[in-house]
Amino acid sequence: MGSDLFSIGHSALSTSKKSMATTSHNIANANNENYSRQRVTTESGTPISEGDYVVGSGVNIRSIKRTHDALAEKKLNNSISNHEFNKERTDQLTQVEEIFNEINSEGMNKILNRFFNAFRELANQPENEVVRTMVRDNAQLVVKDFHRINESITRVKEGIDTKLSRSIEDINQSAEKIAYLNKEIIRLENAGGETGDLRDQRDEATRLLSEYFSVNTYEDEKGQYVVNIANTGSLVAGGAVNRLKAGKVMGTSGNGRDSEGKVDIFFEAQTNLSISDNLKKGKLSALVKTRNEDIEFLRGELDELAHGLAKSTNAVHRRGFANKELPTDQNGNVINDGSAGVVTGINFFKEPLAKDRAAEYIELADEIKGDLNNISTALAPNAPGDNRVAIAISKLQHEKVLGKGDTTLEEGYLKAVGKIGLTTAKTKIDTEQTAGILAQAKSIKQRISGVSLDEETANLVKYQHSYDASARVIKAADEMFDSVLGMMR
Amino acid sequence: MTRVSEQSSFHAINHAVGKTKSRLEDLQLKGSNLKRVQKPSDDPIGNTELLSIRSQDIDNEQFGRNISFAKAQLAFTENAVEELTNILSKAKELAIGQASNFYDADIRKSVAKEVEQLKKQMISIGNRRMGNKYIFAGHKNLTKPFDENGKFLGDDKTTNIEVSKDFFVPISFSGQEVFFPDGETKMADREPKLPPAPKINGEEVEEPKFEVNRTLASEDQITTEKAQRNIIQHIQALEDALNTNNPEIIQGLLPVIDKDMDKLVQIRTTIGSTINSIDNAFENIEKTKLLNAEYKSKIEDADVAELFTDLTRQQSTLEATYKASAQLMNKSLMDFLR
Repeated sequence: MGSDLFSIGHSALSTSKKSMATTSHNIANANNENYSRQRVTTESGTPISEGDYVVGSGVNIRSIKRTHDALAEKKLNNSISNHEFNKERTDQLTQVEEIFNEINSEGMNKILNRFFNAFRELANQPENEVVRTMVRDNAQLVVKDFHRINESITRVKEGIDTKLSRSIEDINQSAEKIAYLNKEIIRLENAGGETGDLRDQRDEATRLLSEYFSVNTYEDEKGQYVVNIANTGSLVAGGAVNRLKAGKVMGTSGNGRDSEGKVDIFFEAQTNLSISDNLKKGKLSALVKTRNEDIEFLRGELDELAHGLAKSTNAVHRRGFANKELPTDQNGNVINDGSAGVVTGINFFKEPLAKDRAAEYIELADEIKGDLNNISTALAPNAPGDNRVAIAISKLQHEKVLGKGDTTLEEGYLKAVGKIGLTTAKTKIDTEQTAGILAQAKSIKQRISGVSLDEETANLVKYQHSYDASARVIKAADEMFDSVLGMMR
Repeated sequence: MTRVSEQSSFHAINHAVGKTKSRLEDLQLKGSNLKRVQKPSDDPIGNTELLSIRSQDIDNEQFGRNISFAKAQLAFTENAVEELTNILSKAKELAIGQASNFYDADIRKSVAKEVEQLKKQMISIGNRRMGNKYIFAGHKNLTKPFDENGKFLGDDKTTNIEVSKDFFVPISFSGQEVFFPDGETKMADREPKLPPAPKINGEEVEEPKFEVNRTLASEDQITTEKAQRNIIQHIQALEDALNTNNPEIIQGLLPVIDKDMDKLVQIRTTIGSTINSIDNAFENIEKTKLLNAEYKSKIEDADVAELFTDLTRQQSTLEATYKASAQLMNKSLMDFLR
C-alpha cells in the first residue's frame, strides 16, 4: 500500500513537472507569432483492484498537443494572398502613377501645351530667329519627356522582372523546407514523438508561400501533406518538391514586345509551359498583372500619342516652305532650281515607321536640328511674314488626330493618366480593406493559438501547487513507512 | 468569452495605431501644402480636369501675349495711317491752292518742291518697320515694299493671329490695301475669321486647305494693277503737274486725293474695330482665368476648416488608442501575485 502511494505521488510529481515545463515553453514563446500554445492532457492511471476495492493508480500524461484550428489557418492564408496581391499592386502602381504625376511639377501635358504655344508665338513673328530657337527647344523638351516616360516605364517593368526572378528563390526554399518538415513529422510521429513545433514551422512556411500565390493544402489518404498552387499544380507532395523556375520565354509570339523576352514562371519539369497567367492572388500575380496589363496599356497609349503627334505635325509641316530666299524671274515667278537646298516637304519630327515603340524612337528631324530656317512657317515661298503653317500646327492642339480621328492629343494623354489614377485609387482602397480582413484573420488565429501570459501564470501557480501537494504525498508515504519501520525496533 | 492572447492583443493594438497613424500622416501632408490632391489616385477625375484647366491657362497666357502683340502692331499701323492722312490733307490744301490759275509757273515749281518732300515722307511711312519687318509689305516683310518712285514691291497678303481659342484677327495691312484706293478690298474680307483647320482622317493628314486671299494675278490683272496708281503715285502726279504748270490736272487730282483720304479713314475704322474685338477677347480671357482659378481651387485645394477638424479628430483618436493600449499592455496577473 505504501509503495502505491509512492508511485501515485511520483506520477503526480512528474506530470506537474512536465506541465510546468510546457507552461514555461509557452511563456518563452509568448512573442513568437508562429507559435501555437501547447497543452498537456492527462488521464488517470489504470485502477488496480485490491481485494474488494478498486484503487486509482495516479496520473499519466496522454499527450502534449498544440492548440490549432485548421480552418482559421486556411482563412489566414487566404487573406494573406489577397492582401499581398493588393499591396504589391499598389506598390507597383504608385511607382507608375508617380511617372505621370504633374500636380506639383512639370509633365507631358504641360510640355505638349508649351510646344503648341511656341508655334503660336512663332505665328506672331515668323521671321524672328529667337522664337524659332524657342520652338525647337520646346520640341526637344517634348521628345525628352517622351523618352523620360518611356524609360521610367521600362524601369518599372524591369524591376518587376527582377522581383519575379528573386521571388522564385524564396518560393523554392520554402517548398524545400515544407518537404523536409513533412519527412521529419512522419518520422517523429512514427516514433511516438511530439510534432507541435514542427507543424508550426510547416504552417509558417506555407504562410510564406501564400504571400506569393494562393495555395491549397491538404493531407492525402496516406497522411502526406500536399501544397498546391491554386489553379496550376502541386508544389510539394510529401517529401517531393516540384521546383519553380523563372526565366525569359524567347519569341513565343510574333508581337514585337514579347520577343524582347519578359520574365515568366514555369515548373522546372515543364519549361515550355508558362504558369504566370494562371497564378491567382499573391505578389506574383500582382506583378504579372501590372506588367502585362497596366504597363502595356500605358506604353500603347504613349506610342499612340507620340505617333499621332509626329505624323500630324509632319503632315502640316511638309506643306510649308522653309525660311529661305529663292531666286525669281522677271515676272516675279519663283525658280526652284535647288540652289537653296530643299525648301519644302520637310519633316519636323523623324517620320515614325510604326506605332509600336513610337515613344521610344521619337526624335526631331535632322533638318530641324541642323538649321532653324527649316522650321517652315509659310505656305508660299519667299514669304518670311507668312504664318499660316505655324498657325495650322498650333491648331493641331485641338484637332482630333488620335484613334479614328475622335481624340485630341491632350484627351488621349489625359485618358491614360485618368485610367492609371483610377486603377491606383481602387487598388489602394482594396488594400486598406484587405489589410483589415488580414488583421482580423490574424487575430482570430492568435486568439485560438496564441499564448496568454495571464493564463500561463495562473497555470504555473496551479502546477506549482499540485507539485507541492504531490511532494507532500511522497513525504506522507515516507513518514508512514518510517513509522512502520519504527515499530520493528 | 473571447480568449485574448498576447499576440492577438498586440495585433489589435498594432492595427489600430497603424491605421490611425497612416490617416494622420495623409492629413498632415495635405495640411502642409493645403492641397487635397497630391497624386492622380487622390482624385483621378479631378486630376485630369486639373490638367486640362492648366492647359487652358497656358493657352490663355499665350493668347494674352498674342493680344499685346496684336495691339502693339495695330496701334503702330494706325499711327502710320494717321500720319499718311495728315500728309494727304496737307497735299490737298496745296492742291486746292494751286488748282486755280492764280499762281504762275515759278511759284508752282517751289510748291512742287514742298510736294516732293511730302511724297518722300509718304514713301518713308510706306517703308516703316516694326522691329525688323516692314509693316506694309504683306508676307514679303523683310524686303522694302516701296522703291524711291513709290512703286509697290510687296504682296497683298495679310497676317492673322489667334487671340483667343479659334478667334483670329488680322494684324497686318498690306500696302496693296492701304496705298491703293482703287484696289478691290471688301470690308467683309477684313472681318476676323477662322482659318480652316487641317482635317485628319485616321493615319493620313489631309492637306490643310488654306484660303488664299486672292488667286494669283493673271496676266491682264497684272497690267491693270500696274496701270493702277497708288497714293504715292497720285502725289507724284501732283508734283509733276505743278512742275509742268498744269492746273487742269491739279484740279482733276482733287477728287482722287479725296478718295484716297476716304480710303485711309476707312482703314483706320477697320483697325479701331479690330482693336475693339481684341479687347473683348481679352476681357473674355480674363473672365475665363478667374473662373478657372475658382474651379481649380475647388478641385485641388483642401477645405481648411474640414482638414484641421479631421486632423484634430485623428490626433485625439491616436491619443485614445495609445492610452487604451498602455493600460492593456501594462497590466498583468503577475502584478497581483507578489
